[in-house]
Amino acid sequence: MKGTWWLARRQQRGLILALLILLVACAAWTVWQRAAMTGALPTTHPACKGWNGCDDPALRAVVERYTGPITALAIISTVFPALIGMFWGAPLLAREWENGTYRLTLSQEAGPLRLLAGRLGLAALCTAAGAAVLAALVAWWWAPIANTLTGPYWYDAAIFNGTGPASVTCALFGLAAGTLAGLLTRRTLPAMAATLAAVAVPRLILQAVRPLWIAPQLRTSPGMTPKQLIGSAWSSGHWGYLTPSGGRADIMNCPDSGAELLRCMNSHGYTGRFYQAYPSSDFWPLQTIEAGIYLVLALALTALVIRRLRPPTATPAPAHHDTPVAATAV
Amino acid sequence: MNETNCAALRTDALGRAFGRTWALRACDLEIPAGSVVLLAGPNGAGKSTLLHLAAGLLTPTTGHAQVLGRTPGTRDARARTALVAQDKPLHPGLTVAEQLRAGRELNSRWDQNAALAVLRTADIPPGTRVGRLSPGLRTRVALATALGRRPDLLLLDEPLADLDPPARHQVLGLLMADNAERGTTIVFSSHILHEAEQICDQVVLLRQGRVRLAGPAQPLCTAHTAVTGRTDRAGHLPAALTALPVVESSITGRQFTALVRGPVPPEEPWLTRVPSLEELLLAHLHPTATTDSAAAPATGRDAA
Repeated sequence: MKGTWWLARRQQRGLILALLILLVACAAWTVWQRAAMTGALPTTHPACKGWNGCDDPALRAVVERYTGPITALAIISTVFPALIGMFWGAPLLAREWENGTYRLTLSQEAGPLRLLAGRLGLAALCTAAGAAVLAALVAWWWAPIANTLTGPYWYDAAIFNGTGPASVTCALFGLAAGTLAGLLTRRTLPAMAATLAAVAVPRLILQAVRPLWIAPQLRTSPGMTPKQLIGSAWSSGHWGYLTPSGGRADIMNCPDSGAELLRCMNSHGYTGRFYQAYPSSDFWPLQTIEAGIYLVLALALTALVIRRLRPPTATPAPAHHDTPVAATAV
Repeated sequence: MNETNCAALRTDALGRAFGRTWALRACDLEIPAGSVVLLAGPNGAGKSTLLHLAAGLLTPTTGHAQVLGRTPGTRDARARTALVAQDKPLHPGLTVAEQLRAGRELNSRWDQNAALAVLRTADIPPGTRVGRLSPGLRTRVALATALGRRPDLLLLDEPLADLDPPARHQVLGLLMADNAERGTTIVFSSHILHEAEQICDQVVLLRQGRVRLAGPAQPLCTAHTAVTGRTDRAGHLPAALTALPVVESSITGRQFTALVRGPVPPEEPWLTRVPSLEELLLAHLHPTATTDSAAAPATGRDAA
């Protein structure tokens, strides 16, 4: 393995350097900005979590000041899998066909699979490390104002996709998708376009179906007792009135509040109010599910790459000649 | 299979199609270990396809190939076979020294001195990036990475194409030395027949994807006759000649020259001699040459 490892390091040192520059720049900016942010936070703020937290103007000013920059970093972390797939995965094998060097590379004694192990192994290591650093930076910067007032919440697309284990396995999926696209198209540019689509589509789908994986909490308040504060929970968008039979009625049936509401509820015979929400602790089961999906996708695509690159293994019988082959163009 | 007796390259009904086009078909060859084989043929004849099949970079559509008794592309075959493709592929970002290092890292039989011996035939600074080399120097670095692997079967696609005459002489010398010292089987394609014929002892002629001629060079030459004589009164080839299996002929003024398979009747008033290999190949490569494969004197299998 030392042999292919050397070549992998030599051929990817430019990419590794570029990744290091990106990570150092993001880390420096985060350290600087986060220090300024925590310095400006009022001392009262730990008690102010959630939408309904205390409306401290000093706290609100800090949250509003830093929501944009934190979201920007989280977006960098969110698009990282696509960047890795396009600029690291797509050329990883496609360049061999563009240069014609696949003839040299694949015919060496080490062979296609050991070369792939070194090359893709190093790329995967760098990808996982880079994604983990970015995810950690986002989480670390966000933590002091996490789920506070109008700031970024755990279920916001940028925060959820830019932090946690799913962002790491998604980056590995992006790398595998780019590598396979490069092997299939044998051209870097079309492979980059295919990779962008291959990463964006599952991300958008998972974003859309996220609330479907687990059931939300049902929070009820009988009669006119005040509703439980939503806090940092993620509203499912379903709320309304409870009927005596235990059924639910549409929120639009009565006006929002006050004496009108009481009269209306009484006239309909509603016994109370309800809403459904995901508590912030649901971040972890949802992250685990998505991390697993991306990991399975990454492994499946890698298996396809291996299958397509695999050389013949033994002296075949004459009838055994239609095995898939890496190179078909002379 | 006995290691010393097995053929360096053996093909049985080997064929390869790209889509509906057959690049190579019904190819039966047996190339003995230790030979130097010239692979001749016009562009698109299937030479590169045959070399890629032997290197395991293509799988056959029909039939099968064996190199050194092994399936091309398997680890054993890869360890003992080296290919230098036509465009002399090298990693453009590596320096010459790093390209050799890659050869060492990826091949257990690597011999740095053998590789350096090739580089010493020209002034190649080891720190130069491979992508910046001239075509001639690039050929030498590609050959160095192949010879450094100490292959038993060396497959070279147009190794002489980018070299000036003195460099061709040097490179042919290196190849001959490797063949003499280590018994390396060398299969190379070339259009530079005049120089190639000086080092080959076997020849395979491909045309339109089929083997037209194959076997040891000298017997192939003696199996043909180069004929010179006078045309008939109408300025055509004499009837006695057209009755023979003429491969190719031409008429200049009242004189004809022709290449004929087999002997010619001694009573005819013609000048006859054994053709050189270059004459033989040029005649068979001529667009008007009769290429009826049934008339071919021998397949590689029979002749070898």
